[in-house]
Amino acid sequence: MKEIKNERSREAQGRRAGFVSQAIALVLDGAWILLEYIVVLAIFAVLRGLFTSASFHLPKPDQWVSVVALFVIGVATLQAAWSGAGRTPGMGLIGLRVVAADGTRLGARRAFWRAVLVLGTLGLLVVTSLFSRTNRSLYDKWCGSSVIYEWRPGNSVAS
Amino acid sequence: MLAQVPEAGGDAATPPGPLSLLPGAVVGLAIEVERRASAAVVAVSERTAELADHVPVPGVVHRALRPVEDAMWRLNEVARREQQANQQQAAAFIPVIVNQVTENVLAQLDFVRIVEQVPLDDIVSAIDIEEIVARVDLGGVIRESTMSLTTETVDALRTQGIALDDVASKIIDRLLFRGRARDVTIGVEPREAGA
Repeated sequence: MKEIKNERSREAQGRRAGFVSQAIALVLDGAWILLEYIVVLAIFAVLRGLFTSASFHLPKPDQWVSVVALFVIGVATLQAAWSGAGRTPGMGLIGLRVVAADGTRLGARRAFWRAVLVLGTLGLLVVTSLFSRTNRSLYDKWCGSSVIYEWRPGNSVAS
Repeated sequence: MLAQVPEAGGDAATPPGPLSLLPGAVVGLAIEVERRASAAVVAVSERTAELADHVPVPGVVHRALRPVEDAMWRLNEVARREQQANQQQAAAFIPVIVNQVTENVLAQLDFVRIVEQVPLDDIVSAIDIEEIVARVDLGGVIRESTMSLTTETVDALRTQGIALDDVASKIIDRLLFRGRARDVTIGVEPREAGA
């Protein structure tokens, strides 16, 4: 595993991440969820082309269908990521990880409710981490979680 | 030149005459005399020293010999210092000599001619390029260097993210008149006054 060269960044590993990193990771995760939705639509279009005489084109579902589908895909993605490796694709790129408040792995139930809250508020409440003395957003306070810097898997306080 | 003794089977037609042997005989005699004289001096001095150790020397003789002994000690010291100086000069001189000799030897060498004599074509034809390429894991080298470059780029961006986090939190803390730094250590839960 490659060593982190910057001393300041090395010391930050395992500590709670700030607002900017969390916000960028959320934006990247939003793009990732959107990409997943487009892939689902493309698969649907291919299957429809195989079993019907319709030509291949991406379906244009109603707005409420898209919202519900995005919400379901998003919750499934975030819940699986946070309760598993602790990081979504966006967090992985920025070098963040979601853990329980004591640094251990976040449970499946807490990860689920955190995903629901994040998607239900479009992630906007992450701004509350900016005003917290401990860099914890309202999502973290409600779900007993923390977002920490962890550039390399296993180099934080608790894995 | 001293006359040489003719070798067996050599040219026996011109044997050296007695007159031509005279210089060599004189030198040989001188060497023999010097060798025997020095052997005699050493023998006499050793026996004299042994005798002198056993013979009691009166105080008068001691006092008379004192200046002689002092003079000998002084001369010995002079000789010792001179020897030391000579050794130091020689030690300093040897590297200069070696460098000078090496430079002169190198100046005499014709490197172009030497290189021209090296059979480069034979050496190159003996090298199996395909075998060498097959041994080198080019894919691995490229993959490793690419991964290293990617990791360093991503780390640089992450470092900027951490710096921006610090700047943003410091601005807000200053606006909220917070004196203490944020506690971002995991597992610590202080009372949130300003959140």
